[in-house]
Amino acid sequence: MQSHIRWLMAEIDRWKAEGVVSPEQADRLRHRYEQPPKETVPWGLLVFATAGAIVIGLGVILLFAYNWDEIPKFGKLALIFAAVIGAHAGGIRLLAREGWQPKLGEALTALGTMFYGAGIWLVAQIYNIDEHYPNGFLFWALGALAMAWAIRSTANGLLAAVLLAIWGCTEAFDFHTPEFWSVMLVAGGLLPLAWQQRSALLLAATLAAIQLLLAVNVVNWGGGAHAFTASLAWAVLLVAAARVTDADRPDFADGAGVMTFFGFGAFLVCAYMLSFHRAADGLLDWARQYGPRPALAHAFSWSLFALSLAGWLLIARRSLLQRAMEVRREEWLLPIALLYCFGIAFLNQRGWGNFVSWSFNLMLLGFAAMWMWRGCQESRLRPTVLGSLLLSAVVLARYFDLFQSLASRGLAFIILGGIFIAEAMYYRKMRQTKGGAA
Amino acid sequence: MKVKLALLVAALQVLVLAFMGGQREWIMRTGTPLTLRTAPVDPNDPMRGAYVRLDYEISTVPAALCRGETAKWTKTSDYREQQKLRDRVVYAAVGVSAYGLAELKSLSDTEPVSGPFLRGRVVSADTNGVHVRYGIEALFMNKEAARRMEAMRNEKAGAPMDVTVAVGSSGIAVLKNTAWEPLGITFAIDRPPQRQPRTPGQQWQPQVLTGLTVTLHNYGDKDLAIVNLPEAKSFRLVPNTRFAGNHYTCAGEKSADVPTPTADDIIVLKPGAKHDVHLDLTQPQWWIADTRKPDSEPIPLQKVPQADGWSTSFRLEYAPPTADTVRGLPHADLIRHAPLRSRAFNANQGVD
Repeated sequence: MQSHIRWLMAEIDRWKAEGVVSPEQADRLRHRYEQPPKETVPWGLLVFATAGAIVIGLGVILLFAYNWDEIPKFGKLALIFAAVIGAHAGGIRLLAREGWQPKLGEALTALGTMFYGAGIWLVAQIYNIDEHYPNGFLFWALGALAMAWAIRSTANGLLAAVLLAIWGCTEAFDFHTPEFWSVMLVAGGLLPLAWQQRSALLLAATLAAIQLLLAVNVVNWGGGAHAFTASLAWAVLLVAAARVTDADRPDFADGAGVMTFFGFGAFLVCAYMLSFHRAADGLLDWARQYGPRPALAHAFSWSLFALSLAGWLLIARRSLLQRAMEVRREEWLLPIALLYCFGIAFLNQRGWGNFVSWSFNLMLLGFAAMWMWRGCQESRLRPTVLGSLLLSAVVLARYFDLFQSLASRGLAFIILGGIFIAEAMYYRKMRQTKGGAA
Repeated sequence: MKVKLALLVAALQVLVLAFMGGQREWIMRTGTPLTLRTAPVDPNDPMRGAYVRLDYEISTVPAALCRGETAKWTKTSDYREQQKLRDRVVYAAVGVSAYGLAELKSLSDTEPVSGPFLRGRVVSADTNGVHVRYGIEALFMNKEAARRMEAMRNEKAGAPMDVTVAVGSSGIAVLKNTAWEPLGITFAIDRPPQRQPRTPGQQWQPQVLTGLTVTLHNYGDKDLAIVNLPEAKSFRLVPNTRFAGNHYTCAGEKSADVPTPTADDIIVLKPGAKHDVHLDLTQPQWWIADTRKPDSEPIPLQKVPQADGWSTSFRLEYAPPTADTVRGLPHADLIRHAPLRSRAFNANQGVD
């Protein structure tokens, strides 16, 4: 039962006891607002049991890493095989039962997958295998991914997301061989599972892994500028996906929230970095950036650009022409920023660095002002605070590179303070107008 | 259905582990044994614990031994092209020397049709050659054992470690045993008297290399014999191929100059004993030549131009005569015939 309904039920009992409402009226009110008990997932059990399983698995890996001389190699192998088989057998047995036990079973299979990973490193240790070590993470991740799909397991899916991210990063950082498949495996292997299970947690882990791998891979394929274009396009695509999910899949509102968070997060980070001269210069060198596979970096950037644009065209059609969905005014800045960013990068005009960094500053200030305005207008704290934080971040960053003298810096801080005071007054006024507490 | 799928995945996980271990165990039991020479260092791995890093002599393949595509790799100096070669699979054809040690015959990107070979991956490639990793570079052990190994490396300074591996038909090698060579080689550089401190504005001048005192140590528990030919003819300078950018080779070496050993040249070293030999590097026997200028005259190490001083890197090799040459001489059976190489040093007195 939601907390406000629980509060209302308690209040109705009090009203009945105090004679404010009659017993019949109390029953009618109770009937009107009472919700049928929902079958809920035992999240506490799932989260803590999974965390426990992962920590135990890590402990076993470290324990074997000690390399006990006293245990013969076949003894070590027998131990790890028994652990993998035991954990999986126990987990699968519980999966077939009713109630809360399948969730514990899921945690046990995650423990089995951790033991499987420990087994990979143990065999490598016993036989002194020192081959391409990211392959160890890949095989471990594939085991976790397969188990995640076999039992539709969020815990194994989370493990797969983390391991695939480690695999992709070690390939890129340690061997300079960024793997195209790392992004595709996470996107193709885990996004559908998160969607099917309506798991916001798995979706969050998957989106974080994709964002990380995307940035790492495109930087290695085609240089730093591609990290901006690909990440920006990805961010704008995520917000579009969030809006469509909001409109068409109300049962996955949590997922839409996660997409919005990662979309806006990535967008603001990119725009913030591009508001600095040096990063803006890098973006303008987009066409000339080099790496071992610039064509692949371009392919990623342009495909994400096309998908984002298609998404926003669909949203424009449904919101502006069909009036079938609502999009907040400031969100239209996202596709505009995307078109602008790709246009600037494509034009390839070195020497426009100052202009580009100023335009991204203005874009961020636009977002900050619109959030603050909407927050005050709707008397909502979250957009007000977000806008204020964004404005502060822009001004504080400029403290280091924009102003030439302490006087201009001082003036900027005075203006910022003045804006906050004006915002506070306006927020109070709007809150009072709507009848809320000031 | 869910349970069946879960059982299938669990069985696959177990099979992956069984295959990994089983393949290595099979190679260990049935593979061709080879002995490789190495020198250890000791890092730590968070997933597999402490280990000793083994650096094999056959890991550095000079350009002259590269065949097929690998030969083309050594001709490019384009950084981007060199980056693309990282982790490419290569095959090292090996033979066994008269001393029982594996010797690299050639490196190729295709499997050799006959003879033992090791499968490896490219670490780096440049115009000097290809650096290869064979997947047997880590010897895992617990921390205490790794510390003991490190201490032993100091106690047995200059002694290489021999590693026995088993090699499967696909070139996969599995590490089986390690053993320290009983004979070690160290050297001390002749230091000139203390120089005057530099005056302000005076340019720094590197110290030049004029001589070395080489020491051969018996670290074993049995007597062994060394052969010290007149005029230090048992020793030679070998260019350090691991150091990219070395353009010099030894010009004084001529096999016909090596005299036939006599009984006086054989020295028996008791366990723990050592023998010093001084090498005067200003003598023509130790002169070197610039490979970039085929017509240039050989020069002593102290005359190497300052710009080349650090990159002109060599090792000393103790190369005893063959068993046939010393047959019939006293203590001939105690002589170890495998060549032994020292740490590298350069013309500016820098030591690896």
